[in-house]
Amino acid sequence: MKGIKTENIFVPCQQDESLESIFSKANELLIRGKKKPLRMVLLEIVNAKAKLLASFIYEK
Amino acid sequence: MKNSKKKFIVVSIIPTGIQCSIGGYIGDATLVTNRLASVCDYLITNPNAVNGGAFNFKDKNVLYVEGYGIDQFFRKQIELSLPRKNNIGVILERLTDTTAVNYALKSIEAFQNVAGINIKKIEFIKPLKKSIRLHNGQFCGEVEDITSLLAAAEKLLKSGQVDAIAISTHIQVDNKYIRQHQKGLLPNPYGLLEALLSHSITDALGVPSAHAPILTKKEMELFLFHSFDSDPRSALENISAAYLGSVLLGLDRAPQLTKYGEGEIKLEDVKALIVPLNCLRSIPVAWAIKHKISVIQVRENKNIFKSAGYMKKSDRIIKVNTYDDAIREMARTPKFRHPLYKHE
Repeated sequence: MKGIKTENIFVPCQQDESLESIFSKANELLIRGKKKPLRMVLLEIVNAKAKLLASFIYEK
Repeated sequence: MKNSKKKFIVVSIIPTGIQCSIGGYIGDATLVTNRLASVCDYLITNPNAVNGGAFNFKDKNVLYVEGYGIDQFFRKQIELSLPRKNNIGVILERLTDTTAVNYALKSIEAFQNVAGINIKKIEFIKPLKKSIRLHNGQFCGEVEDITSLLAAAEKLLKSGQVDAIAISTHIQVDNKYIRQHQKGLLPNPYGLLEALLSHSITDALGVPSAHAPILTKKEMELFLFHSFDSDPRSALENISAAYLGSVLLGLDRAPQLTKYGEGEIKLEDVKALIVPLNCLRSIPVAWAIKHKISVIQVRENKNIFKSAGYMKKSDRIIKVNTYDDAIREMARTPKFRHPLYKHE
């Protein structure tokens, strides 16, 4: 079974890290968690962590 | 210009579900989208910008591309074909509310017979289990199992008669959220869940797709007969009993997604990416900056993002007051100037 959802994910990052690099890290994190990333928006960076709103497909 | 090899292409994205002052309702970004398109060979936009319930008034050179497809285009994973007439397959939920389903089927007949849309096949699926929740002023969504949706889409494509997919399902939304949205107090509650469904089809099968909500008879009554006090920008909701029309009209000539290097519409021909105010933290913006494409943010299109966040100043990012200013900016800057555009 495959589900799809949107939720917040957190990625460690530097304050001045490029958007491209943050999205690449978030992609890797989702893939490691066996989630297929679809779309992402960076919401904010607080305390060396990027908070993203991410949509993904997951296996159940 | 249209016959020359180099094309003048602009991308305008108006995200769904973030309460944009232009594009936060259904179809209310069509006017600015068409104005931008009037100075381009092609303007690429996402369905939310031009889907207007039963209607879609986008101009012919507006390329209707699903949001995930736009991300992949900016990542240079795909290119786009020139628009041509598509053959559409429709996936409908078989709801117990027969009025709702019959309205969707009547839309299909209407757009086949009046607008000449090629709708080749319909697949029915059991209603998907979906939920939406409000989180920090933004709606999030989940669909528990999309296996039947993907199987139906695959079946349509395997028939060999279909190259674009319209999905129409019922999304249960609390009336109070609908009311608050209609009065401009909340983002569109449907948008994000709709996007999830179309992203998953475009991701899995690489074809143009878009979603339209099916309204139940009760919801139709709310929208059609009890919402006359709603914001004028949501007026198309008040005259649309079935939303499938806008998606069928959009997919009719949506460009196909091709392998990178094989499309006629290439990222190299994109002169600018235009986004609402502070919408600078998305995948297209990140890759536009990487590929040295200018990003124009438009102040008049306010939304829930109150700041650009951590984004550092970049000479690639330009801020203008209005969409008309964005057109002037494109004309003023030599590298943007379209040969057909006469600068005022």
